[in-house]
Amino acid sequence: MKLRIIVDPDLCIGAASCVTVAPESFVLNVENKAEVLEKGLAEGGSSYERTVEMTEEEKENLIMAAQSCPTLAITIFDENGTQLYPNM
Amino acid sequence: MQNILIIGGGIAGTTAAEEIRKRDASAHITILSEEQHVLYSRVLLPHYVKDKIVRDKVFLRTGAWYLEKNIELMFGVRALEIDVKNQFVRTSEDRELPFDKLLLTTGGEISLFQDDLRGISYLHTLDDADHLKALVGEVRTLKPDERQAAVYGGGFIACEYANVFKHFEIPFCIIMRGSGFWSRLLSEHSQKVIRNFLDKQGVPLYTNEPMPELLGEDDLRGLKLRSGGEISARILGVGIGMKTESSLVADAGIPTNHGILANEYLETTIPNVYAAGDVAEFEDTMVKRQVQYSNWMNAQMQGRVVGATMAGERTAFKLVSSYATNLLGLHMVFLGDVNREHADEIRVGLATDDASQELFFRNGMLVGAVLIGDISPRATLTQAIGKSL
Repeated sequence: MKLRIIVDPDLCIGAASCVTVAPESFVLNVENKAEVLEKGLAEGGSSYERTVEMTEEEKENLIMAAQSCPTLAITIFDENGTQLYPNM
Repeated sequence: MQNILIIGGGIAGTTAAEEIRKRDASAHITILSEEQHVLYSRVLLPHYVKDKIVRDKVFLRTGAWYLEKNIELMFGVRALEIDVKNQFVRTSEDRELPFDKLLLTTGGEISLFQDDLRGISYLHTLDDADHLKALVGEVRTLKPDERQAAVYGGGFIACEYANVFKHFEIPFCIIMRGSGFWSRLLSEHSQKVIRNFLDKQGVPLYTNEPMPELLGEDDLRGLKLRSGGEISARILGVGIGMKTESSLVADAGIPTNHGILANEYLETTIPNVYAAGDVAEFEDTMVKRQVQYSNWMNAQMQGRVVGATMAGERTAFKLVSSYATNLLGLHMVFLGDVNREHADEIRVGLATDDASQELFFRNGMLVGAVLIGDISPRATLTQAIGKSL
């Protein structure tokens, strides 16, 4: 499945919990903000937004990383544009 | 069916409850919370005060979530007595709640300013944030030359207050008891970098100042410094630390030091009693010492691990602790164990006018790091601390 991952740099405070839980999907930049990676790589340059192909297992870990963010700076959408997280 | 009782409804306790439920569908799980709210993010409180998000967005769970997970949340209830022998907790409602397993995620109590007037602010709970928001709103209605605030403290909360006042363009000064920010933690050079930065920002800094005297009748009008001189201020943001010592725990015979003593599995020495989050002083196998961290990631990850352990999957807690903040745009990161007294050697990685890097070693191994100004080596150093231990 393909998932769209977006980080809001205005909310991100660089707590780095997403990087700890899912280092294959997130990395901190020099501004101490999380950027999105695809399988550990920043193909096409750094970005706060990316659509990434994922297995069910990878998806679970990604959601866990988003849930671990204390500022809810990470939003995840599925292929149909349905918001998977935050889900409330 | 076992009774799981959790004292403390913050991120550590709530995460633990969720992890236990994932593994045990039938356990009776109860969370006792002194606060009147479902789980919310303390980290989001400054964002909320600065109008970056609406109030609803600070909540991380809904009432429906607790129902769906069959986790009972008892609001506005205090634990008054823990009986570890007969395994029950007496509450402020005079109920005796039995437990098979007890988790203590009580966090800490903030240290208070000696006196109180309207205008004194703390930033620990959502109610505190509501109060600060109201005070800021009032100050903004005053004439420009009356809009003044002050910060008392030299730590993380002081940074948050500075950022809030700057955001609302309320002129402020910072007053602290110590010789500089994190005076017991940072080298003189690191403190100088912060001082220079504040200087450039035009923020007056008063160090080595005991708690000032408050001026005003009911509402705060200013501060009288012990070293002499008066400062006008309508708001005083207080951030002078947190206490995790609790008579509730000590009276129960649960071993404590600054926090509740626990091993790397977050088990206390009392069978079936566990501790996690800010209150846990645990055996950190990463830095090989009994430590206590007060930050979100630590509390959440500990909740995850202790939940697994309590549900029968005994799991050791392993994490290179980290805390990041910024003071008016100056980035700072603390990684691992940055206690000067417990370091054999502290090396200076970088020392320029606007940046500082301190590396903490014990037994020849890197156990912690402080980065100020230039935080680019954060990932490399986190990995190095994780690897060398």
